[in-house]
Amino acid sequence: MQTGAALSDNMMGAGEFAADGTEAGTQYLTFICAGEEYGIDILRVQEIKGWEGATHVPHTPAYILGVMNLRGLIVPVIDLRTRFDLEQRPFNASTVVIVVRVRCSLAEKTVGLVVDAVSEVYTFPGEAILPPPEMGERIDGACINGLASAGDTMVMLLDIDSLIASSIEHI
Amino acid sequence: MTIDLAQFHEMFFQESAEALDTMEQTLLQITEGTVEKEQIDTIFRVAHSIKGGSATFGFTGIASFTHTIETLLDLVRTGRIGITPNEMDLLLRSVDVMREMLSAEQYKRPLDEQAVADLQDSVKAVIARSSGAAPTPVPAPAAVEPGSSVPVPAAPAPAAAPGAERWRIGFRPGENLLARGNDPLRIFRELSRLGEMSVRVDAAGLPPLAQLDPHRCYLNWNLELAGPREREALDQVFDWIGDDADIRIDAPVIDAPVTPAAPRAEGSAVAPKPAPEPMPAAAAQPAPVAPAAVKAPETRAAGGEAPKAAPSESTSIRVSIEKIDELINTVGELVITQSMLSQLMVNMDGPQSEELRNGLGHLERQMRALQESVMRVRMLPISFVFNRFPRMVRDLSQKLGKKVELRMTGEQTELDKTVLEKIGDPLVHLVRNSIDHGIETVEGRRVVGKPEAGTIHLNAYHKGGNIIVEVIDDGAGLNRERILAKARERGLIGPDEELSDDRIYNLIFQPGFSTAEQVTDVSGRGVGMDVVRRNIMELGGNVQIFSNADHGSTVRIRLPLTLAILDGQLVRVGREVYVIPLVSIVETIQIRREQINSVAGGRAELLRLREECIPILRLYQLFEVEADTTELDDGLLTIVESDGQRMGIFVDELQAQQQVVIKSLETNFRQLTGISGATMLGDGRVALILDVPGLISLFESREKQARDDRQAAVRHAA
Amino acid sequence: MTTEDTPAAANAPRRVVLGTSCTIEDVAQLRTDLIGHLEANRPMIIDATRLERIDTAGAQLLAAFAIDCLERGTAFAWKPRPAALEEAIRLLGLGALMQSPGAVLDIEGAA
Repeated sequence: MQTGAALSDNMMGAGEFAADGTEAGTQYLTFICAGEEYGIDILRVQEIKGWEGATHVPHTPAYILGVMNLRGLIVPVIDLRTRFDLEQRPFNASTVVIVVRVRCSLAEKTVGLVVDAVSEVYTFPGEAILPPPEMGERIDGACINGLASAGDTMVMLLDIDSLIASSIEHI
Repeated sequence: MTIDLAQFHEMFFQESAEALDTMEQTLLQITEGTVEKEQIDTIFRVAHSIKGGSATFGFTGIASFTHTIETLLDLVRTGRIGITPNEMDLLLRSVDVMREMLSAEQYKRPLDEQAVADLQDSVKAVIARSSGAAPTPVPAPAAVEPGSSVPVPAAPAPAAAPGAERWRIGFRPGENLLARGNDPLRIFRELSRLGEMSVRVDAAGLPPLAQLDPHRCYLNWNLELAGPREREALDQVFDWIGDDADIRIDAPVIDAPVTPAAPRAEGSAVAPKPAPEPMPAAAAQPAPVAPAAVKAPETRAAGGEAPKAAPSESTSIRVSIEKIDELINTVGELVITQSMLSQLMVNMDGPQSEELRNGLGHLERQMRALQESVMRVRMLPISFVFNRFPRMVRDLSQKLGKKVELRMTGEQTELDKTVLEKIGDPLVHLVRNSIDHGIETVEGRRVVGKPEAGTIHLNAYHKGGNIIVEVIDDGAGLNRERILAKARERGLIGPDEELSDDRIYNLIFQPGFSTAEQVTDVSGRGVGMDVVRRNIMELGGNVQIFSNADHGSTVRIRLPLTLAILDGQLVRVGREVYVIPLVSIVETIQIRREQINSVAGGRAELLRLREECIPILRLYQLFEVEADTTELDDGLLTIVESDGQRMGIFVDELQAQQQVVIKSLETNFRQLTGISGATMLGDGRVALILDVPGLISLFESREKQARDDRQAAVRHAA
Repeated sequence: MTTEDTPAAANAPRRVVLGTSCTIEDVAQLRTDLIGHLEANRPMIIDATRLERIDTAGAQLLAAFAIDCLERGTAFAWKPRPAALEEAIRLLGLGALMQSPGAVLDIEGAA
């Protein structure tokens, strides 16, 4: 069993793959942000949509781009590059918003994450996931669940709950 | 296959809580010595239903306690004892104990068993005294004392004369009957006490075990009861079943002359009464007919959380608030879609554009009507909150040795359920304050020539798009000098600053402001009027106090009717559009440079408008967005007001006035000062709704910060 | 509910012992247990002597059980029925349905 092989270019194929049941493990949607690849538990991903702008909300950190209308829901949008203190770049056609559902302040919240581009869907068995890097890495260690290698790249698996909680609770 | 009984527990707890409220209110309506039959019947029914439900769910403690209460009530009902202050006190305390017991079960909290046992003993003592050494007249139900009622006893009191009417009762349970705690066994046991009963079961619908849902009742019954002269007695037994079963009660054949009803407690009942008229209509009626004695049901919102005081009122249904909110949300979306269509139409030409425009105009009006009726579903009368006060005022005035009369008007005024739930605590606080600090002692009142009993008047009414709730007392009023002194001491106002009386009185809403000379048990424990004000402001309302030395004070709360929609003024600042609630807007004006006074070295700007100086808030500055202009005479100034304080909000442009659907920012994000929520505009974009009181305090704290910084800088430089 | 099953001959009667409570809280489990007993296809002795609490749901379940037994031709007999059960049977009019052909046993330890 080859861990972390790229399975599909089409992330919508993820469901089909799971139905095959050929591999055991957790499925992750990965995306690119400033050249790095990050993974989110696919069950947390509600949808992926193009960047359509957001309404500015005053007195919030720079990484809060504002709020957007998601079929009647008011959903905050977080710019992950800014959140991770990565180099800024203008939004373009491939800039996407990954809409995730998280648990935060004892409630379920829906939040949009702006990333450079969606990458792949991988299945990582538990044993293929390495412990998170030490503190002092580029990204706040608390928000990384672990690392997994996909071919010759390393995917950082995000603890999406604490990432979002730390992003919107203490501002 | 199993169902979650917990949800039915939940329903039982909720209904019991409501029923206890009814019981308490009814008790408080009883004036000493004279008990109306309908009052005691209502109270009895509550105890009876709670007993039944708790026995079913295995809350034996509650069942046993309520059984004792029921026994006492039965003695009252049959005229064997009256309600003296002692009984009244026992019964009111019993209500409290039952509440305690229920919430102990509901929230798995510890219970003061001793207190329960003590009270139960006191009640038993009263029972024992009145019935001599005789055993309690109401036989204990088997659920409480298993097996004690083996022979089906004939009715103890209203025994049927031989050859008397036999009621024929058809009983067809609905699916949820059992799970809701309505146990036919218990009901039949009650019925069997009314007279000789025969039972025929129809088990044709009973499936084999393998297909049986054990929580569902498959059996139907036909009963014949030789028995009670009054249909009411039957209805009481079927009480609380609501529409969980189809109950047909066919009038009995009369073959004996009707004798006048005997029991004294029935005083007001008309007797001799012909046996209930043959009721062909009853056959078609799924729910039992309301006992004639139950007082007229209060008007209430259809589908709201109605109390179970008149459970037979089949014209209302219980709907979960989630379903209603879903409906409201959908209608809100529709409104947005509709306004989007209208916006598209503005620039549309063509042969049919006029017709289309007309059609859209209709649609808009209908949408508004639809939205209004949907919103009304969430509305409940404020009596739900007011009803707790008779008891509270009674207890509190006793405790403080004061005489206080409570007057309530406008109890039927309706407001949104969420507002209703949140207004309770602030009102309790205000009423407490009035009794504790406002109303004088009996001696104190005598000295100033007032009647011994003070009055607290709770009043509610609609005004404009708001509901006004007032707490009025005829006590001593606020002490202007003491408030002023305290405010100076706390630095809330400058040593030489002069304020109008109104402004002074409203200082008591400032955080940490309490002038009570001593901390009493009742109020003045630090949780002050500022909390009251904050709670009210969170609801989008405001509060004001008026006072007249020696004549009393009035606290006036203004609340929005609903939290879901708002009449807003759209304003634009650069690319951003904001909504300002119309109720906060005084006017919008164009200003000239010479009307502006710059103070504090140009950092603060004031607008001279008629006799007033109004601070100017440059919204683009506060919100850090790019505006079309930063020149005050190029834009507009929207003057807003909150708590008597005015401020001018500088914006680029005024746009439409429209009703907007309020969406919470908190649901997926968080609360933010100065912003009460967001809404969707016709083009699908999100616009933030400004919270004027929050904005004013945000502005003030920023100004103060800037001032302090400057002073620090000056000191530093010096 | 417990079952004191004898490992003896396949045709030895099964003893079905009801607990103190047979109410809506208990019926789901009780139903499963009773189905198990039915499927053993052996005569049954129903011992409800400890029963203290019963409601309509419980009584209905026992009635359905009794009818199932009759339809399958499974013999069953009651040990003396406690007052609570008798009262429920009478008030709900279930007497005829719950009467087993073998009538009520009066022997201890028939199993």
